[in-house]
Amino acid sequence: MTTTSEYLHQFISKQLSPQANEWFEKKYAEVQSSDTSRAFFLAFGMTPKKIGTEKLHVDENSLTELLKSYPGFNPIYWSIDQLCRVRLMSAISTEYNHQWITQLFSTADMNEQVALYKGLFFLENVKDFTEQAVEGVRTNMQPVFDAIALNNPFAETYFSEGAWNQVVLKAIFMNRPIYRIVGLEERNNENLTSTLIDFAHERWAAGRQVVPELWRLAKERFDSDLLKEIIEKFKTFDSLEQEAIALMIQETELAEAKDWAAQNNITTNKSWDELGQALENQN
Amino acid sequence: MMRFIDPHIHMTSRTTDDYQAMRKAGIVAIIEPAFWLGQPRTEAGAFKDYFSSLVGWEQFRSSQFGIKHYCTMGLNSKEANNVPLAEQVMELLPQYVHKENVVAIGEIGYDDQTEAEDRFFREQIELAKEVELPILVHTPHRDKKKGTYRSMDVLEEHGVDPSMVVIDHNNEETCKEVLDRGYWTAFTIYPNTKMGNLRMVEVVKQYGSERIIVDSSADWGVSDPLSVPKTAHLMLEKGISKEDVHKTCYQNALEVYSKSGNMKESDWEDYSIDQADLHEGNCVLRGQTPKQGSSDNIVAN
Repeated sequence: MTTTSEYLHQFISKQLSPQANEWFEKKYAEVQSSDTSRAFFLAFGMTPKKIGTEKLHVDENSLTELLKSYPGFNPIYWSIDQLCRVRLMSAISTEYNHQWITQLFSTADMNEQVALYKGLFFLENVKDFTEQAVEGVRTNMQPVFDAIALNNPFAETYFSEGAWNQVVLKAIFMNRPIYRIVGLEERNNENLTSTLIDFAHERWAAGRQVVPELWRLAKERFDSDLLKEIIEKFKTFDSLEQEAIALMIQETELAEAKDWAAQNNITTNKSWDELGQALENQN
Repeated sequence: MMRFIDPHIHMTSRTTDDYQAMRKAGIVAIIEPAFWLGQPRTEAGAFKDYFSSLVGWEQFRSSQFGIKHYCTMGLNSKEANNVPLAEQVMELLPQYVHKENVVAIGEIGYDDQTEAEDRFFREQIELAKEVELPILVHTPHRDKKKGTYRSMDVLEEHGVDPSMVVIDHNNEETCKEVLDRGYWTAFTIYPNTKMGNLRMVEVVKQYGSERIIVDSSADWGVSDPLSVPKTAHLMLEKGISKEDVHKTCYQNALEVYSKSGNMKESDWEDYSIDQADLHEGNCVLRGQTPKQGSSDNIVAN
C-alpha cells in the first residue's frame, strides 16, 4: 500500500457505510494486486453507483493534512465517489498507472474525467501526467476544465509558462472564478499580463465588459495610459468592476492613480479573493 | 406545464436550436441510443470516439439547455454486418457499459436479418444479462412483423425477462403481440417512414397506456425532435386522459430505464428550474407553421 492511499483511506472510511466500505476495500485490493487494467476500469466505473455521490465531509484537522499534500484542496468541490476513485488510481503500481490511466482517459465519461483530473496530483509519479493535463485544458466541457483549472495544484506545479497562460486565459474567457486557480499570482508573468491588457482593449472596443478579476493580474502593467482609458470609461463600469479598479489602484505605486482615486473617493474594502467570490455568487 | 421524456433521440445529429425548442416544450430528460451515423464507420476508433461522446460531450451539451442526457450502448444491426469491425466493437463495449449515464444495451436487433446481425444481437443480449441492464431493441423497417417476432423469440431463447426489454418502432400490426408477450412497447413518431401521431392517438385509445412508450427517434433524417410533446398535446386534444399521456410520454420510459440503476427523477428535478419557469405557458409550436391538418400538433404520417 502506498502512502497516498493509506492517507486517503482515513478520509474515505469515515464516510462510507459498512456495506459500501466492504465493497470498496474488496475492489481496492483487486486493483492493487492486478497486473491487468480490467479490475481498475470496472471498479472505477461502478464507484458512484456503489458508494453514492454525497458531498465529502472533512473535519478541520483532516483538511489541514490534505492541504499539505494538495494545496487549494476544498472539500466543497469534492464528492465521496471522486475521492474513492482517486484512491483506486493510487492503488495501481507506478509500473502500470500511466498506461492504465491514460487508457481510461480515452474512454472516460464526463464525471470520470473530472475525478481523473482532480486525482492526478495525489499520484507519486504525477509529473508523468503533465501532457495529459495540458490536453485536458483543451476541453469544452466546463466541469472537466474546472477539474484541472480550479482548486487543483497540478498546473501551478508542472505546467510550462505557455500551458499555464492558456489555463488562465481560457478561465477568463469562460468566465470561470479565477481566484480559485492555485498559484494565480505566484505564476503571473509578463507574457500573460500583456495578453490580458490586449484582451481588455478588445473587450472595450466591442462594447463588452472586462472581467473584473482580470485586473488582479493586469495590475502589473498599470500605467498612465491605461489610467486615462479607465478614467474615461469608469462611469460605465458596474460596481464590482469599479471595486476591482479601486483595488488595483490601492496596490499600485502610480501616484496619479492614487490621486485620482482619492479625489473621487474610489475605494473598496474587499480583497481580491472576496471580489472573486462576490463575482462567482453573482454569476 | 407537463414534463416529458424522449427516450429515443439521436442528439449528436441535432442542433442547439433543437435543444432549446425541446426544453421549451417541456422535455426534461432524453435517452440517446448508440446507432449508426448515416456514413458507415470503417475503424473501431470511430466507434470509440462516438461512444465517448455519448457519455461525455453530448451529456454536457445537453445539460447546458437544462435537459438531462442518458444513452444506451451497443453495436447497431446495420454495422454488425461488417464482421471484422463488429468484433472489435464488441471488445470496446465492456469499457462503456458501466458509465454513469448508460441506461440500457441498445439499440440492437435486426436490419436485414442476416447471420451476422443475429450473431451480434445474441452476443449483446448476453452482455446485457451479465451487466444487468435493460435492452432496447430496434425492429427492422423492412419485413417488420417477422423481424419483430423473431427478435422476441431470440430474447426468450436467451431467457431474458420481457419487463427488462423495450421493443421499439412498433406499428398497429406488431403492437398487440408485443404487448401480449409482456414487453415495453415503444412507438416512434417519425414522419413518413414510421408512425404519424394521429395513428398513435388511435393506438392509445385502443390499447391504453400500460407499457406503451412514445419517442421521436429524431436523427439526421427528416424527423421531429418535438414528436413526443406534440403527440402528448394531440392526445389531450383528442380526449385521452392526462394520466395516460403522462404514462406514455414520461412515466413508462422512466420506469423501465430506471431498472439500470442510473436514471431517477431526482436527476432532473432541480435542473435549471429557472429556465423552465421562464418558458412556462409557451405553446409548443409558437412561430411554427402546421404541416398538415387542423392541429398544430400533428406530425405528418
